[in-house]
Amino acid sequence: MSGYVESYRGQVLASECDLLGHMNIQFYISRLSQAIWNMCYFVGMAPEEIKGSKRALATVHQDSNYLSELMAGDIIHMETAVLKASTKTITFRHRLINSATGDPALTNISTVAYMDLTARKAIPLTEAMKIKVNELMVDAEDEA
Amino acid sequence: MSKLISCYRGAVDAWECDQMGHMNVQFYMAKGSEAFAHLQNALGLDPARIRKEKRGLRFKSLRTQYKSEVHAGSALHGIAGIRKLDGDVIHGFIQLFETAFDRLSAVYEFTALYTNLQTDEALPLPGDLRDRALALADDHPDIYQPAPFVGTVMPARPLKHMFESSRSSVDVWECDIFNHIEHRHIVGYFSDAATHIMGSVGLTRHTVRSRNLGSAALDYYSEFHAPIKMSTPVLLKSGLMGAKGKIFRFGHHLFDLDSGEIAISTTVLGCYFDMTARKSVPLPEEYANFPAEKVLAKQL
Repeated sequence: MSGYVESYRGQVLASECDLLGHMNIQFYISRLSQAIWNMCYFVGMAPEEIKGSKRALATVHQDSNYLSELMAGDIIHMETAVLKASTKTITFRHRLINSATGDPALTNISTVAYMDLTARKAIPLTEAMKIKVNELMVDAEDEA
Repeated sequence: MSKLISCYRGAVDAWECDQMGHMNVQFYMAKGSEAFAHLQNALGLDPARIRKEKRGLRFKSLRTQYKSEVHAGSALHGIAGIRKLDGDVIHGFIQLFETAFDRLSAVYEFTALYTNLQTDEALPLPGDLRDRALALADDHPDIYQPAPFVGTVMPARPLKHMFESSRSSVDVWECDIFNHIEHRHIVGYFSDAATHIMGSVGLTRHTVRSRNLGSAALDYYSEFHAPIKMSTPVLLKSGLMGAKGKIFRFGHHLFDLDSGEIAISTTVLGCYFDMTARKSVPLPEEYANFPAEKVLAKQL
């Protein structure tokens, strides 16, 4: 079973395009940021801890492949699954897709740490999170 | 099979929140505009076709109802649908929900016209677009639909006692690929005008803060009469239409100063709230003291 969930859906703005005529890479990262906020909920974090700025998922490593150009006006969505998890971290695999054509635009592997925003330190995933993380897990070899 | 369209998923960033501690209205509009692109795609107007043919849907009218606050870190998702076709006018909606609670946060009800995006001429709906719109049209009885907008709306004619609340020109980075201003920035003008509007009633920022008050838009209704394009000098004029109980009503005219025309007329309903309790409160006494002869309702 695929563990992918939709983590972002939106559009490329003209103001996000650069001299090369396509969306600048910084705005790919902004979509990953939006996706991470959604993944906070999908991995079982409570709304109160997120909105109360108590805990969050903080990205500590990223690896991206830019696969096709995105132009102003293109509609896009992101799908995200879990590749692996450790005591304090989760590794996501994101795929950004051109919603009109189905073409992949970006694949990205991001490792995030579950962070206590008061102590400013990574903390262990909760039991509730471990259950959700397992539900979203995909086989790393299948995804290679 | 559901005729609803999945049209948005994202989140509220900290920098999208204003001094009221919630997402500013212009970012609701930004997310609504992204959602509208997915709705167009469902109707057959995919981005490549829009770029090639230079034709797409443009709002004729837009009502935005704000149902609940969202804050930094809130995850959002959106659905959209077509309610009906009336000649060449498409009636549709977009709704944004706070994902964690599946709580409705904003509702957009719109009419839209198929438009030449270079000449801004409204065109008859092409056959394939009409067919798709008809196939998607549905009353959606299970989906929230706002009651009709209450009371008088701003007419598209100049009124006395409106004052200048914003003056600007449209920057390149505020526009889409057809050099039309993105709707987010139009709402941004309205939002920036809010402090001046409060000032016109006699409420300074100091007064509002000392009373622990915030203000919030509840309901916007806009009619689009002419396009606003890149580098256009624009002037926003505003005025108090009326105030009763907890609700104030303001009107806006956004002028294209090149043509002198009113490009957009907008009616805004809003309220004040206690910044701690996050509950609405009666209007400040300054509204009762506002000169009756300056209330726009007298001219409507």
